[in-house]
Amino acid sequence: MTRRLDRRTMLRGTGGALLALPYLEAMAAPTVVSEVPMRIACIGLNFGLVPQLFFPEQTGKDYVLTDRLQPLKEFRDDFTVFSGLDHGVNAQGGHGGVHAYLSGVLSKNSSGMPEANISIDQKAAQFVGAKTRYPSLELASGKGDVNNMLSWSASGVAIPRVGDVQVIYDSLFQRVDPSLRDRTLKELAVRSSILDLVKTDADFLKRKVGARDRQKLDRYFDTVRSVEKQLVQSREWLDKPKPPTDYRLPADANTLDFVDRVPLYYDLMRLALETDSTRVITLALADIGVNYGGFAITRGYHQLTHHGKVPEYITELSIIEQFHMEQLARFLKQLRSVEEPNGKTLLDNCMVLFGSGMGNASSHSNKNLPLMLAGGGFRHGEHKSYFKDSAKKVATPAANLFVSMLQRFGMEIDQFGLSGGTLSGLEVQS
Amino acid sequence: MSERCESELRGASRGGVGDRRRRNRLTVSFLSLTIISLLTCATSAIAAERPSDQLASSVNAYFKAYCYRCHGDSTQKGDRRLDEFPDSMQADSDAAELLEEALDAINRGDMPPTKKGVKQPSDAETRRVVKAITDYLSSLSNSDSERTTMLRRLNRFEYVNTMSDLLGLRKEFFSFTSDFPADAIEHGFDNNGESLTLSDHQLRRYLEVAEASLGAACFFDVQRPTLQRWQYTAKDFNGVESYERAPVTWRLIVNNEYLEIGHGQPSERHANFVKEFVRRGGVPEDGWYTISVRAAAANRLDHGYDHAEFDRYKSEPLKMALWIAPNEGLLAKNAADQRQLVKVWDLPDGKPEVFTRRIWLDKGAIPFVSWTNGVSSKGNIRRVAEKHHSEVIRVTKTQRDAAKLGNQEAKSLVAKLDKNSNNKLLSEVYHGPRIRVWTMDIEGPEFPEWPPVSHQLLFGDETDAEKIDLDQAVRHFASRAFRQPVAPDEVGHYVAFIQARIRDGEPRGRAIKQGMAAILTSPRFLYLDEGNDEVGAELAPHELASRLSYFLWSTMPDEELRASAASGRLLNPAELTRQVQRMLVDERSQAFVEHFTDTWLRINTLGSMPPDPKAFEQYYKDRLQECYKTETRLFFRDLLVSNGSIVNFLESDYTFLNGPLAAQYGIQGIHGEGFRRVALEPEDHRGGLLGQGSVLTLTANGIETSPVVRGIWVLENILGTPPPPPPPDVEPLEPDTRGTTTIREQLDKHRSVATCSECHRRIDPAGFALEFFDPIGGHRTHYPARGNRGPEVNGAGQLPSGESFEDERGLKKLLVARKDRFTETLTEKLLTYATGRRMTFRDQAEIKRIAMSAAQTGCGLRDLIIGVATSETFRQR
Repeated sequence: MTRRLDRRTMLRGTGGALLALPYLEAMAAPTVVSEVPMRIACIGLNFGLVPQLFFPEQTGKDYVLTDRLQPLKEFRDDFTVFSGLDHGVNAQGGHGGVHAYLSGVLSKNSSGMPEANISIDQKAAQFVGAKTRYPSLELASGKGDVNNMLSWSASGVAIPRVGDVQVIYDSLFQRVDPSLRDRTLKELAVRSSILDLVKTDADFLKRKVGARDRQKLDRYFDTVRSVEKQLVQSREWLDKPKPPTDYRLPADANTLDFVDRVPLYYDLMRLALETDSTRVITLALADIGVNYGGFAITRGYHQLTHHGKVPEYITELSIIEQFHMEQLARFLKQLRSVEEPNGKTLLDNCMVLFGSGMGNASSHSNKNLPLMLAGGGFRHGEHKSYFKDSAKKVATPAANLFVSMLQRFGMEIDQFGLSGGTLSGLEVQS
Repeated sequence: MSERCESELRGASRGGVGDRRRRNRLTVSFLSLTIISLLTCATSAIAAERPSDQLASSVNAYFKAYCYRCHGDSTQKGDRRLDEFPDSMQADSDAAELLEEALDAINRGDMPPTKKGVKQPSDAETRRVVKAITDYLSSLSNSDSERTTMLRRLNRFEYVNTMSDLLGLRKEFFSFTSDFPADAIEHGFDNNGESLTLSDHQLRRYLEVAEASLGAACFFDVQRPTLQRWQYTAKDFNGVESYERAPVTWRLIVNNEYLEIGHGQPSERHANFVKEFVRRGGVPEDGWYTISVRAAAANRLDHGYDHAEFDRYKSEPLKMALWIAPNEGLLAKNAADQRQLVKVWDLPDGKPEVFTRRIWLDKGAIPFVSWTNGVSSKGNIRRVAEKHHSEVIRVTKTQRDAAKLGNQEAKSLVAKLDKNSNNKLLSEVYHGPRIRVWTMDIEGPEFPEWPPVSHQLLFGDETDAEKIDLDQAVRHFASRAFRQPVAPDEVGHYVAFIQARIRDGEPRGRAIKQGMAAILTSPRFLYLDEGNDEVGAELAPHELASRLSYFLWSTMPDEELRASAASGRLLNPAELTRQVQRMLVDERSQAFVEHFTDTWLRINTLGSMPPDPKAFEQYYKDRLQECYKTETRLFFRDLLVSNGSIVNFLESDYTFLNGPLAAQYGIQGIHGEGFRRVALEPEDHRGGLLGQGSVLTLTANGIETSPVVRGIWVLENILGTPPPPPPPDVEPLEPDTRGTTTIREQLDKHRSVATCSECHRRIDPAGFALEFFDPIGGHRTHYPARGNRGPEVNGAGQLPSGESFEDERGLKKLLVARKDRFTETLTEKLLTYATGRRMTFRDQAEIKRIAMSAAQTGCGLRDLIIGVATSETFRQR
């Protein structure tokens, strides 16, 4: 009965977002990059950041770095801090509102939207299509948290994340036995013909059901065609080699404490972007796991966010939040150290969005989200306030920022989710 | 920007009107008997003649007289104004929703409020306006065709159950489908046709799972594996023979006779396993295995040590858990997540007994045991040793190093402890509570039938692929997969596909499986086909059979139900009732018990906000989450089986408990892992759903409680009157716990704001009464404060009706007085779940009829379910 083990191995091998497709070890000549692509990396925190310790008091270029921003001191000219951006009344819900971070729309409110609550990364991935091995990567530290789902498809479905660092590494670099190639190709071909086959049944059903159901079946057809396209894409990528790397994960990487594991996600993100394995990545940081994540704290992360303004709680919470900012600084440093063929650094060619769908965890508010954007060739160095009415704290749709980012990514769009246009005042370097 | 999008935007800018609309669709109006008869007349009148398509002017006159003062031009309490209704409106438009909301408020008696200075209408006026609005809304929704269930995809739960029954595979086989995207939730329910969409990822996974499960189900040309038996004794375990100081895990092989396990936690990080069985790679084949462990507890009471951690054993037995590690890697100490807990046994003191479990294991799996309620930290045995056996304490390397470096303190310590070096070892003298394991036997793989059931279901006894009749096999399989008879030409393309694969050189068995994988990817399998409502409203027999079986079993119809549908008998009400009764006593109805309670009560959200491990250690120590779920499910199951009154959901004098749960509830005299029915006294503060840990935990956030969240839960799930979302410009509460401000004081402040008070006077009261329960459902009389006892809980409140209560018992009394409304709420929830669509205004009359009919026969849960399943709403597309 070993054949069933094979079957399971295959399943593992091809399961999930086309990850870990076996590839052939065949060193091709380095490809000549005619144009350096723009990338997007979005990092999302589950519990936001304590607002008063994050947002600077002053706006403009001469703002004073807050405690939270101190670790980013040397990148001061490479990022912008935004205040007065959020997703408005449609994305309120405390912990249940966090998942609107990159879409601006709650899952439950998405049914009337043309592309449901699609997130910015998935919109960008549509644009990338088959140009990279993975249209996008969705990562989470550990098991993640159901409230902190960052990536949502155009059909309103949360995209499963990969938390296992070894799996991420393997999907980027792992060599697989070349003898698997033929079998995998055949599997993919059979799947393509199966999808062709079931269209007959969809036609049969269409003749039988009512008008609304027929519309739904049209969507089934769309999905079938989309998966067919992906299968073709998988077949094409099967014969293209994965990039070589000297990078090695530490032994038992997955059992490391949060503080030691988070740098690995960032390392792998940098590598994925540098090797153009993907141009779009999300990283959900949540669930610090056992052992308080390795932090010198005495209470759980969630409990600390319910600080009730008690100083001891805020002190411990700051240990975690400061770690997040230090890791971001480390990531930016890595990106800046990679030189790209267009004479710029990877940081210039990558928009790094950092923030959360939680505005203030202590009051469970999803307003005035902590958001900052680094890199991507924008003119940075400011704290920009977008309150339309600062007395009443009326914010600007954060989706406007996403429109600006998607345009910078190369897409010709002027609207995303519930945006009202681009984000005024955010300009590209000349 | 599309038109649709613009309207969404407009909705959004007006403050979540869309959301309010959605909530409102589930709103149940509470009508007195008179009004019900009025409504029934009204509905039947509609069928006969077309009523006015204009809102009667008397309605606006009524609003003007009694409502404008607070909901008009100058003031808009609760963000509602009633002075702007257009002359005619669209069904489901914001205006219609607002009108419906107003009707509900009038029906409930909430509006106009009985306050000093508020003008009150006469009863006759109220009846007239209720009738006029009802007529108008009926005529509006009559023109609305969306009272049909939209083509529904099987949700994750239904998919696994269906695949399991269709292919004869155990549900556990499908555990790898846990990465399926979560299904969209529509007011708690995850089987709503409109929200069950299909994504690329999902379709890819369907295809992969189809291939994998057919691989596991088919046994073409496979020999029956032979039964084997492995017998192990203490010396085969991963223990050692002695310790001179307490290690992280105390695991001793004593006299080659038994293994002693001295530490353990609920999900033990350190596995106690047989080394040789790991070396041989775990079980050699997939199959059924019988695992027998001979074990006992030692020194539970007579250890003579004074140690706080041991106190719990005075009242509870030592417990041994049997676990499965799917592979060797998962025996590693940090790999606890993917292990499977099979069973927890209460161990006898002293004399060992044999504990046996038969379980399906996948190739490579390794069984192991742990002491599941053991002492938790590595320091325990050391502390006992220091206190009671100081003569066995040896010098540590660190101490010796420090002494060498000249540390005086260390030097004298070393000198002192060195005298112990010839004394006994700690492991020779320690006699604290621990569990002992003598033997572990593993026997398998067993196959009661060959070929296994899965293969027989598809191909009968034939295991030679060459002898399979393709036409026959495909038609047989497709008719089961599509849940209805199929004609040969409906599946001809599958047969042709298999033949083409064979011609291409694919082995016949593989080609057959590929064809069947295609059937499992077909929309006819993945979607519930309920025909065309334009052709006729009544579901055809096979469509009704599927609806029924997904309602009560969450899986495909069985042979008997299919036969009833095939003969057309199922359309006969008596036969339908008979089938419902049969299905409810079948064990597959457990799917209904679990999934309906999961979704109606949101039990499935337990675990999404895990309680703080430090503040609520016992939640994890006693695995309370699972206990809570079991309690609620047993409670529901019991009412179903006994046809008990649903009023028990509101208040009951019994519940179902095991030892850990009883301890959590502070109820004496219940020990052991097994659940049993337990009578409750009023002073136990339990009874009804609002006394159950499941509900109380899921309505908290793991850290603290909020009367608002619990209050909303009661309104939504018990009274069926969900409040509208908060107005857009209100800042949420930011608690300040530096002082002694209680949540109640904060909310009182909140309610002093006019825009908040309208809703919060409805929301908060029930939540206040439940403040007697902490975030994990434990009873409390005081709030915790850092280090001390905090302020006293005040559970008093007043419903909008004016009735007041002092605590949760008083609240429950008032809820029981509203049992008719609860019956309607539950009926509507059941119908929503059963049909896979949200109920509209036009369904209200049928909902009331079902509820009333159940009430006449004593509100039995089974009667109510039969009422739902035989209702017109259920039998229609």
